[in-house]
Amino acid sequence: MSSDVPRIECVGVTKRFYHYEHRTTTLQEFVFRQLAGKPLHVRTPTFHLEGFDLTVRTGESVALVGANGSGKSTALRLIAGIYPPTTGSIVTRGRLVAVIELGTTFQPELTGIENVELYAAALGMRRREVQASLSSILDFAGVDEFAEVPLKYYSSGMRSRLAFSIALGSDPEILLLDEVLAVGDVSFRAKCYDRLAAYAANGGTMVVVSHDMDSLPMLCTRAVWLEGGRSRLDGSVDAVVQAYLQSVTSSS
Amino acid sequence: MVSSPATARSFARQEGGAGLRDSVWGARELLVALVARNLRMRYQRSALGFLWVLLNPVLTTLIMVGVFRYVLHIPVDQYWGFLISGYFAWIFIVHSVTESAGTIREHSYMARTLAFPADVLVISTLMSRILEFVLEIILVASLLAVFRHGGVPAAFALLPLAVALLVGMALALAYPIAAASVFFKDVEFALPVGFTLLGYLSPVFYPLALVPEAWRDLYSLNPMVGLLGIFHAILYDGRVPPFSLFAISAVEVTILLVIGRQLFRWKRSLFAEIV
Repeated sequence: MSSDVPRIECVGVTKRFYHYEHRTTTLQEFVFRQLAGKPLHVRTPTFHLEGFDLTVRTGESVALVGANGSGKSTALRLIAGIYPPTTGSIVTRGRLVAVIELGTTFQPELTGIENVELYAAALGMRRREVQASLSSILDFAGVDEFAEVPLKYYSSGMRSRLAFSIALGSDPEILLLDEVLAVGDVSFRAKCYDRLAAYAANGGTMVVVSHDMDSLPMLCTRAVWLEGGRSRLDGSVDAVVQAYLQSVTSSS
Repeated sequence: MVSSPATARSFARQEGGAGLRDSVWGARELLVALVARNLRMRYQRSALGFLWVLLNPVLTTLIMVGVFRYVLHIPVDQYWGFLISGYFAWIFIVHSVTESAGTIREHSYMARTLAFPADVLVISTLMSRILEFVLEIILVASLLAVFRHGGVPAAFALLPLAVALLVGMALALAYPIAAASVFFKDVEFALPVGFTLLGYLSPVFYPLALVPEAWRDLYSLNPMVGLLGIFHAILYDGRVPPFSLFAISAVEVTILLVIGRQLFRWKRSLFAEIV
């Protein structure tokens, strides 16, 4: 794909959620409220994203930074296609893999291999591709000897490593990472950074949400600072991280 | 302010990639992987699993034959044959719909962290039940062939068609119920009550012929009546059901399936936020 075609294009994206004072969550109440002519919900809208624009080109690695509630994770889920936008348009081009919560899709009763097959299928890998990269995935996660062991006997570190390894092994063209970089021990983390650097060097596109300001410059070249659901600053990772940290320290 | 989640001005589109997000067909590999997981969890992990799968319906059938034949005296020749002809089809509906209706809540972590059509969860759960049902039907057909018909009636060749209609019916019910149970917590409590009611309003334990003539048209509005009629005709009577019975059931299943699927898709994009 030519590098001037954006991999990710968000234009005027708004995402509305609700604060519920009252929420109808049972069929029984639904019926009673309908009969009594009462509204089903009493709620006020809150906007997690408001007029959010983002264009990411092939080979770019973009960090999303900002305070809790600034809309980073919401933005990532919208780009991933998990939530629909309330208004605005989102177009992604190419195989997209989003790692939102590490290992939550794993099944404790199934073995390592069976979980690899399931999670890889959920990320959009074909069966042939999974079989071809199975050993490299297990090897990268360092769980080769536990391949046939049910996942409930894995340590949490092993589970996270396996999940991360599958996501990286699924050969994405766009990789979205949400707060998942604090994985495993020091040596595994170093392996991950190497792998992500190689991915980026080979033209991979990446959007990373992280609070770890020290490591972001190692992964990303560009950063977007989100505040109140909008991008406040978009520029080189060093400049944006510095500006963001300055505003945090000056306001506290 | 825009009230609908998807308006003319809002869209999210993926170009290229595996097509996993767009359609059940695009997500077929995930569908297969989920069915494999369900079957593994149910049978492979417990050595006794499959024994119970067979023992449970066998014991239930024995109890019901005892009660309805010898206590309530339902005047049906070879009552056991009548009962097993329809009972397993009914139980398939109950189990498969109950299971697939709860599946989105059960796998909420998938809906919240991955982008795929939620249909896949419902369909995979349903598909994992089909194997068991087919085995039961083979067992039932064998028993009836040996102890009732003294041979294999030609009508048995129509069983795949009958099973297909029944699976369509299960999916037609599972779609809207699964969607409703994402929004309403008490659907899982309402479901057993609904099924008990529907079971007694369907010719599962007694034949249609025992329903008073005056009530029969109203009674037959329940689409289960036609479906069970097909199973009774093929398995118990060993004769080809009238074409009209097939045609009416096929139309009913199609209409319910289209409506059920539309209801599901109408709310599908909200599942990840709600569940």
